[in-house]
Amino acid sequence: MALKDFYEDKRYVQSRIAIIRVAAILVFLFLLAGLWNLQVLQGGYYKELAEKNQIRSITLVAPRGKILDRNGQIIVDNRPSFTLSLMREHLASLESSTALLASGLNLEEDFLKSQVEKHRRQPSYLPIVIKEDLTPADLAFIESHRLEFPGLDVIRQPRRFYREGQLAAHLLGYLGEVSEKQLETEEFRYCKPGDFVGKAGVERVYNRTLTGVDGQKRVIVDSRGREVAVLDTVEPTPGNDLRLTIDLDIQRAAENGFGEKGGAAVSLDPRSGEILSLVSRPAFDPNSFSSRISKKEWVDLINDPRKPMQNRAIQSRFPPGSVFKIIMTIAGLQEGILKPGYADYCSGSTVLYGRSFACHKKGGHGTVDLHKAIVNSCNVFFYRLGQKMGIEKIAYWAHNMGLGQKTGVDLLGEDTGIMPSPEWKKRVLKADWYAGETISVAIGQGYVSLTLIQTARAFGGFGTGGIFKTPHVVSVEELKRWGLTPDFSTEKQFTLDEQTFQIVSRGLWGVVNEWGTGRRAAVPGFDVGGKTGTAQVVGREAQKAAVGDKKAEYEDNAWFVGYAPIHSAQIAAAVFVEHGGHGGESAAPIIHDMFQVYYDKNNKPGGPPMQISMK
Amino acid sequence: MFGKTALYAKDFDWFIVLLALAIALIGVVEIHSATQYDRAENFYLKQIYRILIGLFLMVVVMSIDYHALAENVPYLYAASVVALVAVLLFGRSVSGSKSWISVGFFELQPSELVKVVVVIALARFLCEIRSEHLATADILKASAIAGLPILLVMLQPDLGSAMTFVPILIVGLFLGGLRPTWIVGAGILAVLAAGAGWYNLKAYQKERIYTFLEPERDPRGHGYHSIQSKIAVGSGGFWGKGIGEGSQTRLGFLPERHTDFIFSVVGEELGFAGAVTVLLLYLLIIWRAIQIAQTARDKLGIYLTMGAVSVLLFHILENVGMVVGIMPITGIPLPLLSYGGSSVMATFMLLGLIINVRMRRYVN
Repeated sequence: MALKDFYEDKRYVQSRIAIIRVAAILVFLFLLAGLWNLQVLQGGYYKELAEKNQIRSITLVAPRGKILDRNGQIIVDNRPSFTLSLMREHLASLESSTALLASGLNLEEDFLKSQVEKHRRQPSYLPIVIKEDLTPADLAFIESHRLEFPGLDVIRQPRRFYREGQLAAHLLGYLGEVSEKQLETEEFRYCKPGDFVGKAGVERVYNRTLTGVDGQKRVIVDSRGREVAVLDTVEPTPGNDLRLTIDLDIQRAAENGFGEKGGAAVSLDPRSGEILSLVSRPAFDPNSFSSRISKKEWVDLINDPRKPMQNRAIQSRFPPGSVFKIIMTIAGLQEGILKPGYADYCSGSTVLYGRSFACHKKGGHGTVDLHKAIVNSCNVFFYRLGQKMGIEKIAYWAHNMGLGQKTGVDLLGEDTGIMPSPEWKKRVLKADWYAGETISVAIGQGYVSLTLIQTARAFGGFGTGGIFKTPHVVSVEELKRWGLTPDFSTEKQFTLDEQTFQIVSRGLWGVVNEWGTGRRAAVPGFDVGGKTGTAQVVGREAQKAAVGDKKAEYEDNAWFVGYAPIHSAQIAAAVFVEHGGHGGESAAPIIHDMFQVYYDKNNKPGGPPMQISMK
Repeated sequence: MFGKTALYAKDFDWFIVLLALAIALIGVVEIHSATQYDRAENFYLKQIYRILIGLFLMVVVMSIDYHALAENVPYLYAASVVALVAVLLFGRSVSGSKSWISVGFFELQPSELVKVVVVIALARFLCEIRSEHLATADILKASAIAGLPILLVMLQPDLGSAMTFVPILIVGLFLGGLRPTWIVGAGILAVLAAGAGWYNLKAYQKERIYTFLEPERDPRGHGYHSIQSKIAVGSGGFWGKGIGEGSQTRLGFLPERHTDFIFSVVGEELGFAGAVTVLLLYLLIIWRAIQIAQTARDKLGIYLTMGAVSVLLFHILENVGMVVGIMPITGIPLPLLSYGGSSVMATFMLLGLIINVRMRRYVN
C-alpha cells in the first residue's frame, strides 16, 4: 500500500478544518433563522394561508319558486339536473382521452376540445363545464369510468322546468345568465356573475319574489379540489311560489285553438282585471334557455322571420278592423249622435270628401238600423257615422276606454297601440289631420292600431258598465302575500249610459247568436257577445292574384273580441289570428273554446244562467 | 482483508450510525405520513429496504481500508464516467432531465453514487501534494477531476445535481491550501461566470431563479412549489400539526412531498421543535465527522472525511434552505430523509467512508 505509511505533514491541512467547522455552524444558523422566521414569527400568517388553501365555499343554488295557475296547478317547476365539469388541474389528463370521453357522452370531439379551450382563459376558480344536463346514460358512463377521468366532477343543480313546453311561453318568460349591465343595477345587486335570473315575462317581473337565497357549503378539499369533508352548510332558502291569475285550462284551450297559426289571445276577468289566459304564437320553448343557450340557437330565434320571441298579445299592435265599429257605436251613443231608431241606408258604397268608400257587401245592406249595423258590420253606416262625429270625439271615447295607451299590465315591453287624433298626428307625424282619414278610422283602418290586451280590456270594461281595470297576471292577494304593492294606476271609469249599454250589448249578442258573423263563438247557456274584425294584409287585387305560399301570406288577419255574459261581463277576450281570413271563421272558435271552459268551470254547478230574450 | 476488520470493530462509530438511523427513521415516518393516501405504492416500506441496502453498502465501504479504496479509485472513476455517459445515452427522462437509468430491478440516479467516487478521487489526488499551498497546476488538475462528472451531469441537464459536486472541490482545494490571490481571483471569476452563465441558462432555469426571488409572481406555476412549501412549514408553527395531520401534505398541496420536499412535511407536522431536532441530528453528524477528520491518521483520511462532510452539508443547506424559501429550488434530495434509493445509498456510503477513516485512525 503505497499511500500508507509514508511521511507526511498534515498540519496545514488539519489547521484549516476549523474554518470548515465554523462554516458548518454558520450554515446551520442560517437554516435555523429561516425556520424561526417561517414557523415562529410568521406561523400565524401561514396557518391562515393553509386554511384558505383547503377550505372552499360551494354555492348551493336555491331553487326558484314554482309558478302556479290560479287553481294551484304547477306550470313551472324545477327538476334536478347534473352538470359535468372538469377540475382545471386535470386539463392535461383529459387531453389524452378526449376521444373516449366524447364518444361516451355523445359529443363531437371537436366540440369538447373547443369547450375546454373556451374555458381555459376564464378565471381559475370556475370549473370547466363539459356538458350540462347529463342524461342517465351519461351519468352511468361517468360513474363507470371514474378512474380514467380523475378530474371530472358531477354537480347537482336545480334547473327550471316549464312543464307545458311552449304553452304560455311569452307570459312565463325564461331565464338567462345575468348580464354585466344588469349586475350594475340595484335590482340585480344580489347576483353574482353567472347567476340565472328572469329575463322576460313573469320570471322577469317577479324575479325577486321567485328568487330564493343561495346557501353555502364550506368543504375541505384536497389540492385537486376534491371534497374530503364538509365543514358546515347553510341550506339554501327556496324562492316563493307564485300563483298567477292564469287558468291553465283556458290557456290550453286557447293555445290549442290556434293550431299552426300565428297570432295572440288574451282573456281576462274584467271585474278584477285578472288575466285568465295570454297566448302568443308562434312560441318558443323556455326550457331551452334554462341552460346556457348557445349563441347560434339564440341568433336563430331572434332572426326567425316568424318572430317567435315577440309577445304578440302585448308587444304588437294590429289594425282592429270592424272590431272598432263597437267603439264607434259607443262613442256615437254617448255623444247623442246615435239614438234608438237611428237608421241609415247602405247602397254598397258611399262618396265622402270626393272619394268613394265601399262596403264589404257589394249590393249594399239596404236600410241599416243600429243593431243591424253591428250584426252585419255595415261599413257605409260607420263611414257616415265617422264623418258626423269627427276624429276628436272618436278619439276621446276610445281613450276613455284605454285604447292607444298602455294598460299597465304587469309584464314588460307593452306597446301603447295607436288611437290617432289630430294632436297625435301633429306630434308624431308632424302633419295636419285630413278629414278623409277619419273615414278609415271609423272602420278600424288607417292609423288606428291596437294591442290585444287593451282591446280585451276595453270590451270587458264596457261589459262591466264602464269600469276599466288594470290587467294583471298576479292577483292583489298574491301580491300582498309577498309584500308587493299592486300598481293599478291605469284604472279608468266613466258613466256608461244605460241606453248605450243595452243597445251595444244586444248588438254584440246578435253578432254571435243571430246568425251574424260571430256565431262560432257561441256557448250554449252562456250569453256570449262579440265582434269580428278583418284587417287586410294587402289590397284585394294582390290578394286575388296571389298563388302558392303567397296566398296564405296575403290572407287577411282575423280578429274576434267579445265578452260574456253580455248583461254583466265575467270574462272578456280578444283573439287575433294572423292570416286567419275572416274573424268569424278562425278567431271566433278560439273565443268559444276559452269561454266554454270558463263557463263549464264557473257556471255549471249553479245551473244555466238566465237567457235574455232579444226579440 | 476482512480478517483485519474484526480488529477495527471496536472502533466502529455507533454514535454516527445511530444518529443516521434516527434521521432515517424520522424520514420513514414522514414518508408514510406524506403518502398515506396514496395506495398505489408503499413508499415507506420501500424506503426501509433502501436503508437496509444502504447499511449494507456502508459496512462494505468501511470494511475496505480507505487506502485500498484510494488506490483503486482510477477504476471507480472510469466506471463512473461510463455510467454517466450511459445515462446520457440510455437514461430515462424525468421532468426534463435524463438522470435515471434502469439497473435490473430498480432505477438508479448514478450522479448520486458518482459523488462518492469523486470524493475519493479528489482525496487521493490532493493528499499527495506536500506543499503548504496548492500550485496552479494542482488546482487545475483537481478541477478537471471534479469537472468531468460535473460536465456530464450538466448535460443531462441537471444543474442542481451538478452543483452538489462543487463543494467537494471547493472544500478540498481550501484544505489543500489556496493562496489569497487565488481566493480573490476565484471570487472575481465566480462573478464573471455567473454573469456569463445567466445567458446560457435554459428558460426554466432562469424562471426558477426569478421565482426564488419572488415566488408570488407565478403562484400556480413555478412559484407554486415554493409558496406551498412555505405555507406547509410556516403553518406547522412551533409544535407542528402532529404526525399524519399536516393538511398541506394530506390534501396534496405539497408537490414532491415524500422526495425533495420531505422536510416541509417535517416542518408542518413536527413544527419548529421537530425541524430543529432534525437539524441538530444533522449538525451532530457533521460535528462528529469533522472531529474524525481532525483525528484522522493521514491527509487522505482528512480529505475523504471532509469531502463527505462537504457533500452532506451542501445537500442540507440547499434542500432545507429551499424548503424554507431562503434558497432557490433545485431538485436535490435531503440525505437520509428524502425518499429515493440512490440518495440513501450514497449517503450511507459516505458515512461508511467517514467511519472507515475513524476505524483506522491509529497508525499501528
